[in-house]
Amino acid sequence: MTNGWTDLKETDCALIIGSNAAENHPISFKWLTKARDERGAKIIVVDPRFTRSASKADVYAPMRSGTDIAFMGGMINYILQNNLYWKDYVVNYTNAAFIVGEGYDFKDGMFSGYDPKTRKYDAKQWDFEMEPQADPKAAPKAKTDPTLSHPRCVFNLLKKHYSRYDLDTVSRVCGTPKEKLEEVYRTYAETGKPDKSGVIMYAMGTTQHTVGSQNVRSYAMVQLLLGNIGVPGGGVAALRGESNVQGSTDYALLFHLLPGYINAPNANADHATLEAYLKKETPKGGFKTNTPKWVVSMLKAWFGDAATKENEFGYHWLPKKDPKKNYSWIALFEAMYNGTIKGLWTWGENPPVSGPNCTKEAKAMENLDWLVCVDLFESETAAFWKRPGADPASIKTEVFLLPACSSIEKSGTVSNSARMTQYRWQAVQPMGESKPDLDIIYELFAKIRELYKGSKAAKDQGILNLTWDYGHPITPEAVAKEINGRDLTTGKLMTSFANLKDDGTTTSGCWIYCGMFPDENKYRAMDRDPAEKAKGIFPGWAYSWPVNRRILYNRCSADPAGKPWSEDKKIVWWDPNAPGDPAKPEDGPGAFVGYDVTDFNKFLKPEKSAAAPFIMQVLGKGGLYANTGMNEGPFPEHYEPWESPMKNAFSSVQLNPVVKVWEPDKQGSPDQFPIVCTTFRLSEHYQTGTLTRNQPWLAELQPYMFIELSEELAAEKGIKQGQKVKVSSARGEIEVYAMITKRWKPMEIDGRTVHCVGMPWHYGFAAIAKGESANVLTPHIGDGNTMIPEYKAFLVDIKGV
Amino acid sequence: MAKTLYIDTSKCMGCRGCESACKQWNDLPANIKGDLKGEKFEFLPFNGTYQTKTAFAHQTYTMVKMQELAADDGGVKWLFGKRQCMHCAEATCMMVCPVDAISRTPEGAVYLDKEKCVGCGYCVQNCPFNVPQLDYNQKGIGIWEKKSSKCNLCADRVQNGLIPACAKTCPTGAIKFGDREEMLALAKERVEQLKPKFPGARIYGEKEVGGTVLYLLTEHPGYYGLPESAVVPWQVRFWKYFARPVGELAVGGGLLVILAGLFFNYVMPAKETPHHAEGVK
Repeated sequence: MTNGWTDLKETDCALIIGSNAAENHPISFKWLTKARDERGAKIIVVDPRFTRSASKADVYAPMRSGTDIAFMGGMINYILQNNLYWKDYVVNYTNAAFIVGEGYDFKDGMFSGYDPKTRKYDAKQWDFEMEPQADPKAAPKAKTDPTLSHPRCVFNLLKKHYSRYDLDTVSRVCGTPKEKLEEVYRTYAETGKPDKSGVIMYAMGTTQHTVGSQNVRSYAMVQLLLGNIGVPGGGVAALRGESNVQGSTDYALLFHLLPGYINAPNANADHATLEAYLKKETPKGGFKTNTPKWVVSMLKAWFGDAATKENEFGYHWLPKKDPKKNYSWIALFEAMYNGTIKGLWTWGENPPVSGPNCTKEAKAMENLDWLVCVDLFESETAAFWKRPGADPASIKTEVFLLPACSSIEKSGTVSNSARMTQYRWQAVQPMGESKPDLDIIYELFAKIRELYKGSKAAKDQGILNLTWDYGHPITPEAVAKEINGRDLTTGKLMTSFANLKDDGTTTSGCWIYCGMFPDENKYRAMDRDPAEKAKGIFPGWAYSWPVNRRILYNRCSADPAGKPWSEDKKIVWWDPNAPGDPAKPEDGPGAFVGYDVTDFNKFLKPEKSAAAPFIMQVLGKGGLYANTGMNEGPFPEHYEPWESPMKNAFSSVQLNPVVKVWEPDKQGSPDQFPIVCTTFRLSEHYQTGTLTRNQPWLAELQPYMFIELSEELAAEKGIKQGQKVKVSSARGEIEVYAMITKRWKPMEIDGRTVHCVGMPWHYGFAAIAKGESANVLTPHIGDGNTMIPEYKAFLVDIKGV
Repeated sequence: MAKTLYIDTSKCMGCRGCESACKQWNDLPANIKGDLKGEKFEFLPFNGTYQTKTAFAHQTYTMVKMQELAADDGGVKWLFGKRQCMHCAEATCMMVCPVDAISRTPEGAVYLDKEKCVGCGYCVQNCPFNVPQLDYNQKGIGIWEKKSSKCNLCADRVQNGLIPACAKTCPTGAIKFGDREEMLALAKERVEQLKPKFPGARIYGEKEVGGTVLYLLTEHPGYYGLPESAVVPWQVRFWKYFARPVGELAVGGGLLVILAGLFFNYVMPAKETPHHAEGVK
């Protein structure tokens, strides 16, 4: 979230799309309910089905799963055509005025620079025209036209690109009635005023598509056009799927990153040395110019005294990935299926339930020599060798089940969607021999290192030199201190990442969390001051990275002169009488003050900070146009899901041109499988249900796997309420109960009636509440950037049993 | 001062956290037949809705009633109404209990003391809201112990300065607990606030059965499984204020249960069938 949970109470309009917040993030409705009662806020829900969130919405609009870009493209077009964007914000704080180079082009669904052989774009073609700079070290600057009249300025390219997303075409693609589209667009565009703000809340319904990342981009672009970023009640709110997903990405439980969102090194010439790596990964402009300080401090945290300038701070001990290979979920299971991966640790993961095409993934696990499963119960993963239809005698995989503690049996932090790291104190003693995850990994690595003792092999030196001196027993606080980092000269804990250095004199395991443990006795994740400072900002409650900032890009809440755009939405502003920078007395008084920690150097004169309000961007402005960073182009373009009931109405390009198709033979056609299916979660269950389907109170709340379908589809197929039905896709078939409901309606898609259905994906064969897994039906294909599987839109057929 | 629950259905999103919190605090088992440790056990059968609990039971003191309705604009409404004992001011169950197992707490809850309950079932028969249910506990071959059970408004929590578990866990503030006057004022204010969007918005429980747990409903009470009008039958009053005191003098306390049985089986009218939402227009 660019803002936070408590900030939702400051909104004037919440657009919930790709999320069922009431159901899966109930606490969000505590704050949205406040916003509605106290501010008269509107809640809009866009979803293929009428959800529990929709039941509380002011406006509900149905939308066919997999058509977010068409829907949001239509909104961008509506905003631009009706001049509903906030011009001052757009000109000053976004890259709308930047002039795009002549290399950029877009024709029939394709941007310039595509190579069909590699299925990749050459993003250089999309570059801006740059101002010539005398000093090669100076921050780069794009040519701009603040009048927005240049035909190749971002604003006009944007306008042209989305002019194709007219109401008729969008309605035909999304299945949303035209008047509903207009109602949503009109209602949400109301927030494009200085004294109004709107938030877009999304979750897995947005990301789990072949165009998932571009779906999110489309939301961010609408927010920029309406001036909803950096203000209270605004922002793009990624509602994370479990309590610590934010933490897991922050700390890089992802194959392509190092902690703090730094690209992981590759085994190629670009990254051959630390110097080369830093040169490649450090941009010339924006706050990321500090990357060397973060990387070197991280290496010092990891390798301690063994990391020296001479050995490049141990850079060569980091594993390097093959840049041609992908190590995401689908790729890993394909590799297991092909027998190249021989061992697997699963830690709170349950692939036979949660993996796409999970029949194949369970089968892939049969090729493993060993499997370690760390969990609270014997999950479908731990029991995969005795799953229905498997022959235990023929499976040679050795399976270990390590009992883990539940969250209340241990202490430690989780980082929530609001980037807030909160400490939770242990409430009860662990059951049986169960251990906290931290203890398990601690003991595991200690043992691994023992096995490598005495090795002189270069590849083993990273293992031997890793700092693992947390004391015994290991505590979360010891690890948190390492993450926070120290000044090695004074031995003191770091108070801010602003003080990190690239010469090996500071440490920090994850720069974005630097400052959360500023003193030996002060762990800010434990802070519990319930006082609201103002505008939904509770600065004394736990710690939000970076530097306890609650609203990112908050420079945008004030105009270029530093005056708040509106009294109601003010959070930081320029006070000419505030004490100035003590380090630069010559600059005189004046600083930004307010309710939140500023997102920029608060002593900079307002005009200066206004030049780069998006400090993480190389060019300092909000990206309506993404010249880098997105594999499939600078603007989100609608492509159909891999399995779709219609031909793409916007171009002749059916599928996102950069996605990898793993199983071309497993694609269902609309003749065979005419129904659009999606998967979803229930309040009553958590993830793959290992925790909840084993807990009688929760199991009884939703004991059965079912499929939701409309009364119309049920009548067409002769299906009766509560009977068993068979649901099939090109990957498999499952038998589940039929839940016939008014909450689904057939949609008018491309001039004909298309039925849409949905299923929860929580079920599996283990636990006390059992059911067949929805993911038997989902395809092995993922997003063009992140590779997240396309769980949310695929084709099925259904028949009564 | 009397305290009450106030349930604002316009804020309820049906998360059912209250159902689990209730079970946890009151230590009620899940409604599962059979032995969970063994192979054979079953949940209540699939009924085609999210509302898997359809009736109160000795394991179920509270549940969220759910109702899908066709809306005038061609869309759908999905109503949620959290139900539990209504803690009536004129509590029929209390009036008919022959052994005084049901009493009123100083905070205003209708409290059923399982220790005193003899399992006669009159409270079950006479509750206008179908709340109390009998629990059959096998004590031996052919020997069953019957006890009535229902929500006690977390009297143990309330008497120790806490609010009921359901109210505590509710994320949106749809379930509130406080002084009755204060809750009623909130409800009245809310009705006015909601009227423009929900013309059917109303308070339920202000006067019904002398006053019950307060509800803010956005639609007809029948959709939430609440009877449109709930009153104490005259026969119950007759029993409470005349037949029972006279009977007690005549036959003595010990035989009162039998007398009550005769009375409730022959004198009481057939109970009003609670509305089924389908039938409500």
